[in-house]
Amino acid sequence: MITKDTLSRSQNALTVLAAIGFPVSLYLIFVATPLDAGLGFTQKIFYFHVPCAWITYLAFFIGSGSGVAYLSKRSRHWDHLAHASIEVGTVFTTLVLVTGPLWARPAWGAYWVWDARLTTTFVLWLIEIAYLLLREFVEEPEKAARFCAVLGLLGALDVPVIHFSVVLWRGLHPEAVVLSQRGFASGLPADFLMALVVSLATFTLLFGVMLSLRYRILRAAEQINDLRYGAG
Amino acid sequence: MENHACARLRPAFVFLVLFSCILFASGQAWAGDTLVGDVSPWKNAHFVVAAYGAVWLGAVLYILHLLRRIGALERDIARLRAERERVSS
Repeated sequence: MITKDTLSRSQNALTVLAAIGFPVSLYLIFVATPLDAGLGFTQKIFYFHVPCAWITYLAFFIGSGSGVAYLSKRSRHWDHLAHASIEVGTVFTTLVLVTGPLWARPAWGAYWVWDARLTTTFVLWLIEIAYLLLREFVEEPEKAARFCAVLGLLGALDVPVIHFSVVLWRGLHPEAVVLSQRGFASGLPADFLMALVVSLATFTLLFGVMLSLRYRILRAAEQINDLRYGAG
Repeated sequence: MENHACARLRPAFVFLVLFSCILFASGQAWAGDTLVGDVSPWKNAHFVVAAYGAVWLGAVLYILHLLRRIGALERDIARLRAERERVSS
């Protein structure tokens, strides 16, 4: 079990690192990295579109893994972690769905096309919304936790489909440049790669901060319920 | 109860409305009918900067909102514990 002090200390460390990473990543993106020859300034959306997509994967990985742990151990700690992870992940999936069209309009001439990558990401976002609604509207916490663990597992099945959709169905969306079949970040110039890696690290730290804060809130809410209704 | 649906969904709803406003306002002046390649590489720069600003400002505001919630909940816990001790003694 994670203690409150450990959580606060790791949360402070994550916050400080994210606060350092933020200006560094902005400097690398806007000053140190040259403009893309084809897309110009619009290409710079790549440096937060890709990290947001990575966080979406990571959030579902943590959320579904914690869901499985909850189903096997029935500990509320795992349920809170799954809930917090998928809730914060929803924010990042929303950002993926907002930043993608911002890039797509000048690149493709349309904000949205029903391409396989876009459609499967949209399906994941709907699963996340369904997860949060299920949390809100199932009254019994045990039942909500069980249903959500199963829904989280179903959602996790969509993650590899999203990742490999560009290879399987070859739509308009560009192929993956970070985790591609040709190797890690192959074909990406060194300065572009540096900006991307720093941005990925900063967003991961930001996700860590948000996740630990949401987890603390869920635990505090549970403690209040226990104190009010006498379970603790 | 902390998990009241309306209270929980309100910030997410406000966030989505604000972001949609930014998206559609920028869409009006975005590239019009001109596509990348026909325009200067600096075209759309202000929208990219605005989008970055919105993401980071949104993140900071969200973190501050969470910190305020934690503060309020921890005060509630301390108050309930104190009440419990008073009742039991």
